[in-house]
Amino acid sequence: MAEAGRAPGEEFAAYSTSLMETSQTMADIADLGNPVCSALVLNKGRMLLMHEATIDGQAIYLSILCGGVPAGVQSLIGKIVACVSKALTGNEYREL
Amino acid sequence: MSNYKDACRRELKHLVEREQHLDAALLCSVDGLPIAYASTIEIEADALSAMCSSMLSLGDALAIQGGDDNCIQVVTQSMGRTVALIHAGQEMLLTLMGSRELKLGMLLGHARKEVEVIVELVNKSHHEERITEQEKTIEQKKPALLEELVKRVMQEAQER
Repeated sequence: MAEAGRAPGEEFAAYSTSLMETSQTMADIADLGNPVCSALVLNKGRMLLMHEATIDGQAIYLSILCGGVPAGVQSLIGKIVACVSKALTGNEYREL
Repeated sequence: MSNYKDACRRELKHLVEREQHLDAALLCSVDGLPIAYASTIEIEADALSAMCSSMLSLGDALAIQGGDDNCIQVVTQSMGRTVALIHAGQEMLLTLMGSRELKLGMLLGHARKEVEVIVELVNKSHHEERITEQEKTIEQKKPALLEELVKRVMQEAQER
């Protein structure tokens, strides 16, 4: 849908979505509760954080590539989702 | 083969018993088959192994898309637990499942250390298997004892 910074390309989106869906299935199987986010630990301490949110009944998948784990990552994700929600629907984001 | 599986099972059991907030440890093959596991909670090892294998494969695919060779670890944080997946050598992967009380850094640290132990156990087992195989070959190549030869010749002579 949208990208900023050094985004790796279109194929990346498909894998990212698959990974989030697989993590949801794994959470169901292992009775882990709803996944909050998934992350890949990459070389040189980099991390790819992924989050699924539902805006106006539609699932969106957010991927953030960072040099390290940022402080307050959950609130950062919340802020980004709120921005996306406002841009897409004009409304404030409400978590289901 | 079973030697290293037993050794891994013992090691995982020891880890889960030692770490208070670590609920489960599962070792499986890259094709999603369980090898050994230990847990304080009930887990479906077969289904979980398959999902973990898929997750790590997807993680690797994503990392490759981003220009890396593979990903080091995959972490999934849920409301109840945190799951960490890591490669254990070329053919296996390790899954650790911790409660929310267990810090992410600690979970990843446990995963890294445990992989080193497991790889060592597997290498040791393979080494022992190779030595046994070599001993067998040497045993087979040994010339028959002189006494046995004489006995056989005498027996054959009597039969004639």
